[in-house]
Amino acid sequence: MLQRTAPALLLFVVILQGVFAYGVPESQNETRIVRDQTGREVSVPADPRRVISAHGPTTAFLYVAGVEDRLVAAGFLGARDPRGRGAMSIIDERFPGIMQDGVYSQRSFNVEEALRLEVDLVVAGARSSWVETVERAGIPVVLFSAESEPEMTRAMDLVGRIFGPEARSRSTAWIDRYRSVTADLSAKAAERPWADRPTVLFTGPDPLQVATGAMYQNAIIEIAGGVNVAEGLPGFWTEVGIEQIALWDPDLILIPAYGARSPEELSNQPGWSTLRAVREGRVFRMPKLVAPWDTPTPDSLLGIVWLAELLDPAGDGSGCRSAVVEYYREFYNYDVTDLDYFCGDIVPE
Amino acid sequence: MVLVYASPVLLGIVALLLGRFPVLPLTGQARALLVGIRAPRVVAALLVGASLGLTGTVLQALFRNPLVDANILGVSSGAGFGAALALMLGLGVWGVRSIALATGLLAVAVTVLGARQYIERSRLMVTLMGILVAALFGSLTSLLKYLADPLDTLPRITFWLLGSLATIGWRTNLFLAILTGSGILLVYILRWRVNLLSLDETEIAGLGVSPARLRTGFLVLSSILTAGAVSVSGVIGWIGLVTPHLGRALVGSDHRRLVPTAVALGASSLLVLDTAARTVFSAELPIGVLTGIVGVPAFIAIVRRRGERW
Repeated sequence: MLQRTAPALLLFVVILQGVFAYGVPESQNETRIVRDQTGREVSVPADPRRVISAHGPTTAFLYVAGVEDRLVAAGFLGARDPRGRGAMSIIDERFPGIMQDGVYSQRSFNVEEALRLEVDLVVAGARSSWVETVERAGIPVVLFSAESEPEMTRAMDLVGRIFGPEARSRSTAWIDRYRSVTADLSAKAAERPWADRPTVLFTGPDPLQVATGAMYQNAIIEIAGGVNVAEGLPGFWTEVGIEQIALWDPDLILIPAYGARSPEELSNQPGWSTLRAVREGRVFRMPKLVAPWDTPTPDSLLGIVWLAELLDPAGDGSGCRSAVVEYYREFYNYDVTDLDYFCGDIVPE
Repeated sequence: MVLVYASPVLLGIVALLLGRFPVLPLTGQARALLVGIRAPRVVAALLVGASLGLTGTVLQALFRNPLVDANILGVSSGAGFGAALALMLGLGVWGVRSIALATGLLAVAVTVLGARQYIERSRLMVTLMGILVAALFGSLTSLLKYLADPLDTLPRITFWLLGSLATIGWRTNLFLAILTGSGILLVYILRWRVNLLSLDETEIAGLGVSPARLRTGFLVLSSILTAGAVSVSGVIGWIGLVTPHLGRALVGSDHRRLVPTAVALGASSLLVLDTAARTVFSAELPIGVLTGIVGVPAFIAIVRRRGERW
């Protein structure tokens, strides 16, 4: 009898094991508690599969962590211009269909639409105004607030913890790279006395708006070995007059990817044309692929590398080029072609 | 008295010497900044201030209302909407100014057409219409701000709406000079008729002047002047409101003397405030904010001193 029942029993055990390995469906009740970046404790599904990102910068974190396939709708940063759009369409075949900036943002969130999409998690910015309403509808909301280097690594770590082992390994890889780049460059910058460092003016959406010490751009400048002339000003993007800029006499003027004027246009404007940085041709627009490199998104790692090599008199762009190629391949699975656009401004002095 | 009329020129010379960047020693860069940046800004402050003082005076006489300023017909709100729209469409500086000018005039047209049956009879209804039109354009502007990309467009819209004389160059000053100059000249020639605005229809007609044409004429003139100034400088409030009161405190209500006085005072006060805005701190204070912070207490002081007489 054992001869007949043993194989049946064995088969039964094997099948049972199979059932336990695959058969139990993703339990909607399996959750995990995480602490988001505003200190809230949120109960999130153990394996979120239908996610809305209502915050452009946070969407970038999800792409870098490799979990963009879980998104059903998202707000994007820097994906509206032709280059950004083109790249995003290659990176994510569902783009631009999933771009829903108008529907989900810090200012507005269409709860009924989200419920219709059977969303199981929402990630959003800390200044979102609709969090309570969405939570009452039964959808967990995790808030992100990455505006400085430590906050950036914490944000990436949070993404890794929420989205499972693959995301975890990608996020750890990013954090390691970010930390090593910033540590190396900071050490190199520390060797230079403050008085010898090049002075940088970081202009904003409008040329007369400048980034103050409170902005992430300030951290980028300092890590890269520069000094922000507008560091002491109050506010964030603060307006100044051209006379004040002339008084500061920066060595380098930067225009973000989203700035209104190109370096040529700026150099020809009255007042700007008399600045030393303009006369010496030291006005540059920071490149970007998708998210702008100066905003608190993971790609800002490249912004730091780019600026550091730009400020280095011996920099010839090779560090920038290899960093750009490696980064986009590893974190976006994207092959960068137009390297001159990204690193062409960096030439030895 | 002569001092009041001469103050714009005198203060203008002083303002040329003040600023963040030292003009002495007169290096090449200092000279370039003086001629290319500071001088046009001083001239612009004088022209815009003169324009605001003028239109404030005329409109207060027209509406017989001491609380009137240029936005009574919705000009500033309309121009603000146009500027926001132009910025959202990604237009350049002249595109923004042209559309702001157009929508400013559009707002006035809507007000006047909406209240056309009341223009002769009821100033209150025209005022009400103006407030409603201003509110409408204000709401539309808020809608645009809601839809604007927070990364680049929204800060630029906010920047524009706070008012600024920082980007005015010599070409714009030419436009302003022609506009304001003709306006001032015209009103100066007709300054006696501004006095007539405080009379009854029959009294005006009895003096051989058509009341409707008088009112409409001054309305159109003020609107064009204001729209032109706002399209260039953004929304700068309180100068138009307070300057006529200050003028009346100095020379009384006879517009033959009040008009030139208000023009001079408007020019000088905006110049002083704008010079402070660009000099006192490293960050530039928005001129629209400064005129409010200074203008409101000044207004309170004047009203308290003069009581009901305005």
